[in-house]
Amino acid sequence: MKKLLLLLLGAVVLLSCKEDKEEEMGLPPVIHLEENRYYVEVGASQLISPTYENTDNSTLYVWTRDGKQVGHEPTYTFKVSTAGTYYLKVTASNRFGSASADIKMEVMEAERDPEEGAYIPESTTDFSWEFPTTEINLAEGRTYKVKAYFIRNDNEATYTWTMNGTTVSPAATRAEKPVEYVLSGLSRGDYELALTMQNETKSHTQVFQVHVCPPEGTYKRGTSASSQAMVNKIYEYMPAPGHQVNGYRIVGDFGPDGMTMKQACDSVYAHFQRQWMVSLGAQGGYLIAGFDHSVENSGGDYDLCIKGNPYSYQNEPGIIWVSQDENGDGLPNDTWFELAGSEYNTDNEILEYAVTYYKPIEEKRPIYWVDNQGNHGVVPHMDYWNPHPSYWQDWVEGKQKTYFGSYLKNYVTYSGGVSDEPAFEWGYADQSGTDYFNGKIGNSGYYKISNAKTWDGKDASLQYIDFVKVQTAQAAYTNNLGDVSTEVYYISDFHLEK
Amino acid sequence: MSKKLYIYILCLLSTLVVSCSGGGDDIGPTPSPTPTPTPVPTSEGVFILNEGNLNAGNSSLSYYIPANKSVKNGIFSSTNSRKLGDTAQSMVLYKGTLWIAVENSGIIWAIDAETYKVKGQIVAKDHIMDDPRYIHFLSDTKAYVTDLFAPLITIINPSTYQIIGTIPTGQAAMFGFASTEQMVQYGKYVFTNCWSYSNKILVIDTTEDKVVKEIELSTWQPKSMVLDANGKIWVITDGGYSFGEDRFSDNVPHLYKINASNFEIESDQILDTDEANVQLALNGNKTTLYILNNDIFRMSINESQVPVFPFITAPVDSNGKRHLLYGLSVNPKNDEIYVADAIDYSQSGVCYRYTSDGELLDKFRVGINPNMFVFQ
Repeated sequence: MKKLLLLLLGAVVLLSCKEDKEEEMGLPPVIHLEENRYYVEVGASQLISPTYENTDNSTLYVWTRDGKQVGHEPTYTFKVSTAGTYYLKVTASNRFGSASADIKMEVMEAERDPEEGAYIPESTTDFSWEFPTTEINLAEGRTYKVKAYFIRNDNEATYTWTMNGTTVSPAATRAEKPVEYVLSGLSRGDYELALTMQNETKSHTQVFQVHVCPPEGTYKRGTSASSQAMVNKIYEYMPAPGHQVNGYRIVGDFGPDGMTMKQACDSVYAHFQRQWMVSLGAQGGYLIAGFDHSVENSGGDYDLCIKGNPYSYQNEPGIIWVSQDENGDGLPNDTWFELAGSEYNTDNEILEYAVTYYKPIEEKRPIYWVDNQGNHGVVPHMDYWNPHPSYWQDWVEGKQKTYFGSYLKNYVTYSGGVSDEPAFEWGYADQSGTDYFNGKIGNSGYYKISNAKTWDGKDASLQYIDFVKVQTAQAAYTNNLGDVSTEVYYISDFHLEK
Repeated sequence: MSKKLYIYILCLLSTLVVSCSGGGDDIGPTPSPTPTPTPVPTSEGVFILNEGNLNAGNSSLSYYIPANKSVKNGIFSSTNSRKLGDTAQSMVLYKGTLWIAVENSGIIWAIDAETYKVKGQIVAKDHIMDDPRYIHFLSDTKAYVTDLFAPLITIINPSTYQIIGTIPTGQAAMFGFASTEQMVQYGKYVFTNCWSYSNKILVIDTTEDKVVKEIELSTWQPKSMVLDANGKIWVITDGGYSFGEDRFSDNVPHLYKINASNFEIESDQILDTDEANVQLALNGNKTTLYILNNDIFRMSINESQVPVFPFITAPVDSNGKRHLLYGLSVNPKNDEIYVADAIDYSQSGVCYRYTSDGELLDKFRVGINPNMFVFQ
């Protein structure tokens, strides 16, 4: 029993000594970080707030940034003005030891609002209006609508239409009647159509030269053994602003800065010969190409091939227009007929659409646009796609440019870094519709002249065509794919393809 | 560490695994010990799979012997007088046979691991197994094969070289991809990561050959996956990609820890912006995690965060450009670390062999885009 008591006493003494020893020894700090990597923007503050164990008022904290002491508190607010990688170290020390933890800070340039810095023209009180053309060529027996777009500051003016000096549509305000006139029932010959705007203080007149030409077929050109399947000339290359124009270098060098329209058209032609891509830019951007022969309307089968680069998730539909050389001058200055696609005559399409882009006054800034539906927006400058200072075409004169055509509603989505740009059913370039398939010339869009429509939605019933125009149909962009811009690689006569 | 202590820790970890697996409350019965057979070692060499370039048909197989630091390249074609194929994706050694999935050729080769001679092959049929990615053995007569595009996992019979079935994954294609990738097994469940344009981990009940659960991650493209000694699945995402104009998502990888017994995500940490491939590997006793994320990082499976500074730094060329590290494996016998360097994706790659402490032991040239090591 005595031995047992001695043993117990010894144990108590040992335990007591051990407790004293532990209290004296204590424990060094422990640091817990919720994260040890942060992604922050330049100028943004990021609070780093570790949790600690074994700390008290006597604990010493040291924060270093890339080796230099920057703080002595338990927390640290990180903020820098220059992008780059920074390393923080926090050290907590007490009399029993210390602990440290490293933190990596990736500082990125702040993302600017894509619309920030766009040049938006100042409002003015001056009267203005716009027209797609002032020279009209149409074959005898056809009709044509002349229409004024973007009428501004007319102060309740009246509009009068005259033909060769005779009033054909009496004065009426815009509220009373749209400012448009349909040419109809004119016999062959030249006419002068005039539109006069009159208000209390001002009067403006726009004259249109109208040439009623010989009937369809007069200037039709047959095919020969030397006829070329691919278009033989690019007449106009007028892309709207976009990230794949000016300076874009995905395939082939498009050309130097300061190009003329002719140089640009020659470059497009060279691209088509290699089946390389050209972009039409944002909504309304277009190119006009012609054949060395008239392309027959097969009456319901495919007549035209237009290659693009659609993917399941990326469709950038382009509206296709065709025309005949109605005046026989070899130039595409005649009536355009839209090839109706699946959305024609639905709520997804707006006819007689116009959009104006404004030339930016600063480098690398978005390009502002307004349309004739009362909408506005920008084509963003996306440096990672194309770092060129401006997406404005060098050969476009003036400070603004209006594109006339048709418009397709977009169903483009962007979520969680993923874009989806769905296709419509059929009838448009550069989209995976039912008419884009691995056919006669491989993966291509195949189109029918029989779908051509007149301005008033009737079947145009064209026997043939001489020119093709392709126009970007949608106004949209996503952060990772950039702006929706129809791309064209190649245009040809389906019938001459082997 | 003494052998006794090492065994003790192993036993403790085993207990933890069983404990964790029994803790699940909504995933059915406790998993039985994994049925995955252990490959039989035949010698001491290392197979290196060289992916080659897409549509170039230049995949190849190399063999490295650490003992004398010798390497033989192109052993498949030189032995069998035929090409390995286009875009060899993965390989697995099973009972003396090396199985190689060649994605863009739609073929799986079975070669003798000693002679390298082809023993058999399984080819895509009726658009089944068009793009095989990884093979996971369940038994001598059953294995799963994942696919880059198809929403199907192919079931093969390795003993007859036949496709014997499919498992619909139920994944809607995004941009044409409905991919499944690597596989790990915990009890009766096989987990597979849906890499391409996805953020899912699928759980397959191997007794039913059926997807029974989807685990959704908060970031895109889970690329690599390992199962540690604690019964936790580590998953690394690559966050998408950025190749010039071609972008998908933010390209920032994340590392997830998932409890294999209840399918719950236990942690999610952000990593460094990815410049090349991301991969995970474990040491032999599955207690140390290695992370390929530009450089090589290392952490204990019981730690909560990947260190800020790398364990092994990727080489840098004379222009200051970091090499593109593409593959990572750890020899389970001695914990030596093997790193595959694709350099620039176009020239012959280089492999580096390190001690478990990160000391460089050897480096050697192999084929184009080495992506994987298999240890005999």
